[in-house]
Amino acid sequence: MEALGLKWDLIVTQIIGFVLALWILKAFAWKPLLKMLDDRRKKIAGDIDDAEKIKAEAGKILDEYHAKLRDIEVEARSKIQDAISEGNRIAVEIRENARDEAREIVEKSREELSRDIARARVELRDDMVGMAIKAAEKIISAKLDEAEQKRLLENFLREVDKT
Amino acid sequence: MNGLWLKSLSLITTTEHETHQAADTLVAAAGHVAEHGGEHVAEHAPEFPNIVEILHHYFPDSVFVQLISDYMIVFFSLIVGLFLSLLAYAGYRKRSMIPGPAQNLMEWVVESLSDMVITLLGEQGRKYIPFIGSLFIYIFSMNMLGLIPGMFSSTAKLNTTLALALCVFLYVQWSGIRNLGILGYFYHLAGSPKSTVEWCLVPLNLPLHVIGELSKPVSLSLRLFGNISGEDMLLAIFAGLGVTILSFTHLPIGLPLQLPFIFLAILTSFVQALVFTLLTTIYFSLMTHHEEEHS
Repeated sequence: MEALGLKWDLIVTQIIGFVLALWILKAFAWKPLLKMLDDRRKKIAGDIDDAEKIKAEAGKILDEYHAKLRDIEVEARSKIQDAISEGNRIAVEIRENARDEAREIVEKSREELSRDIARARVELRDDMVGMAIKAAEKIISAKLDEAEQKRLLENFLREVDKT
Repeated sequence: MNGLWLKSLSLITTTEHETHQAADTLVAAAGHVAEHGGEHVAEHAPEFPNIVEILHHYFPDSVFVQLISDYMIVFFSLIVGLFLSLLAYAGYRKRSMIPGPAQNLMEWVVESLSDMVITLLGEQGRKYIPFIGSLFIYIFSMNMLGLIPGMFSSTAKLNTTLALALCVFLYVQWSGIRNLGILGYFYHLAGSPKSTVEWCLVPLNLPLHVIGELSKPVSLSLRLFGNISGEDMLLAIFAGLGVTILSFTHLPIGLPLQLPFIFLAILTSFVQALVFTLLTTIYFSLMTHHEEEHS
């Protein structure tokens, strides 16, 4: 071998040493290195996963808020609508009440008026009777006796009643 | 020669501040090798035979084999480049939010490198990440390629490391000129003088700074080349020792005595790629820091 100028024994020894070194490295250094790389990979995957989860959660919360806002808007609108119809209802009621009251007042006034008229009529009749008696007394006090006087008076009263 | 190899062995265990000394040793070794010519190296340098050498041995007349044999370093650099491109394509092809295996690996590498650069340079260093990150990945892959049987570390040759260091040098200087302007750049090289005394020291400071800048690619390239070639030699020497031990069997086999040093070589490959990259980052930082001071 030496004669050929190539040291095959050296090459073989180198190969043996290399294979042994590889075997030792594989047994002792390979696993920690792989584990380190695997941990790195897992960490990246976990981080990305977490970020995505957080993003999804944030999106969900945002959607919820939007939905809630929409609900609130709808509720507010319906409440306003309710308030408007309630207001309208109250206005109608007030108007009705006012009308009834007015009618009542008018009725009452009318009744009172008619009562007053009746009373006034009675008073007027009494006054007229008194005045007529006095006038008659003054005119005919001397001429008529009491019976005639009474008859005339009764006539007069009947006539007054007729009117 | 043996003494030189032993010195080369010591490279593996050198600490950072000893690197320059170690690099000197290797330069001496390289000089020694150069004196004795390439043929001599092929015969005696304790290197594992690589696929190009094997092909050249069996097909010495093939034009293609002759070509890759002449440009062996470039050939192995191209293999690394091709491998990295394919890996990048595999990672890029099916991109998803949750990464697959290739994408996950590449994301992790890019993330780590970008973190390192931004820690050192701050946010404005972001534009240097592609260059610095590619440097690290490319150098680390080339360093590691030498550990695979039949392959060869291009970074174990000064040609490759010097080319890389020159790229760094030119980019750093260019970004300095672009950030500071021509005048600001020379003002920086003059040591940013403010007082009269400092202006008087400019004739001393300017050559010092220029030498300092020029020494950066030299130290970068020698450090990487020295460490990686030393590491590869160490493995080959111990494998050779294992072969010698089993030579009585007359079989083409040896004891894999280099096994413990393979793990050391993996560490060296990583550390040297990191050191090259970190120093590059610091060279950029010196330029950007300067810019901040002025503004």
